[in-house]
Amino acid sequence: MRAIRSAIRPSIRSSFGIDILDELQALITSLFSANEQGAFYIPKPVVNGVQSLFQDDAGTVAVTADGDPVGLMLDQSGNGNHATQSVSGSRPVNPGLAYDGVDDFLENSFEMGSSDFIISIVAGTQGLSGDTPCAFGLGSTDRNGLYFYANTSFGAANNQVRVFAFNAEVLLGPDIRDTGDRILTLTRENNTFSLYVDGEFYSSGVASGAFSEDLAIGTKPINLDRKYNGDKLGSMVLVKTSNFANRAKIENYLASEAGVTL
Amino acid sequence: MTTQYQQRATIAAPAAHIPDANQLALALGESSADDRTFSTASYKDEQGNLYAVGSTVAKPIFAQLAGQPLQAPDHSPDMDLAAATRSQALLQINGGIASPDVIAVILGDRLEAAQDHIAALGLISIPQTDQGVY
Repeated sequence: MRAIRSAIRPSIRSSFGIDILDELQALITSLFSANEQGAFYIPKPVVNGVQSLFQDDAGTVAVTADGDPVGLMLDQSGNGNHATQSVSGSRPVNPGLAYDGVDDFLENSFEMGSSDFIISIVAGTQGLSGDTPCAFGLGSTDRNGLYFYANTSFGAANNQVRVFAFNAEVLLGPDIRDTGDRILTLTRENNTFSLYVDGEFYSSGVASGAFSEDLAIGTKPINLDRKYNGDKLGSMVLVKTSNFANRAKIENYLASEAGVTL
Repeated sequence: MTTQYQQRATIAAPAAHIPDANQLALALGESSADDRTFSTASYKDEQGNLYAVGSTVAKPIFAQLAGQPLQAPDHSPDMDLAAATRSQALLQINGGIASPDVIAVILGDRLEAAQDHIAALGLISIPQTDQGVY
């Protein structure tokens, strides 16, 4: 039933004049209207009628075409946590965004601290391979870092999603290689971290501590190694919140936008 | 709208030449941060020689500029032009596999995969599963 509903939703929207942008604005309001900290990235050249991707990190050259590099991706949350890449050779490419698995990534300074949170991202899994491709990470040191590997090739977790926090493994996820676009969500509730894949709970683990700043998308922040080599990293939401009812809202939006059936 | 970035360039800088290669990247690149293009030598060839690899979409003018006398760009007027010129002399575009005495470049269509370029350079990534650090 959910698959059928998902398949007909775009035409219903069109028939009733309901634009996906209304849905986006409602979600942003729901997530961030009480001054919640976080970021909301939609890697499309224009979002809500506003140029949102730029070729350079200063935001002077607009991304207009497939194949343009992206040096600045605006944060739609209102918090101003824009993601940037100042090195021109390390910029991912529109559309997708496509990260080349060699040196591409985006970053900002975003401090998650010890707050409860929801982080959700659209991850393209085609081509995922190799050592430890990192979809995103938080933290400027291993000890205070959070690293979300979409694939690992060491230990008992061969080819599985693996999450590390505070220098230790927190949880293991499924093998998602070459399974198309997936909605990956990590929540922190007190000291329990939970992984959801396409809206379904998969596993959880416990860890305690505070994350230092530095968000990186497409790599592990410290050393800037372990580049993501799936075919794309799409929209991403990070929000400090204890309102976990918002997880499903985020996942539904990301799935709708990415064409993923939850 | 068509992108100006019609090519992909993947560049293997031998470990000993990383500082000079970064000055070349600064001369040919679009940002004053491009002296950080090549960082860790995390790839190796069959003989175990180490390389830092960068891959990027590029405008067709990239190859033209790479073959001309270099000038300091407006974004980095004080760059080390001598280092960049030393590095430029080592450039080998579409000339085969990487080796420690050249800066090998694979230049192809923008839709080509960086990983295919790296294979054409004869390089493999060095596993980063360092012990005790995640």
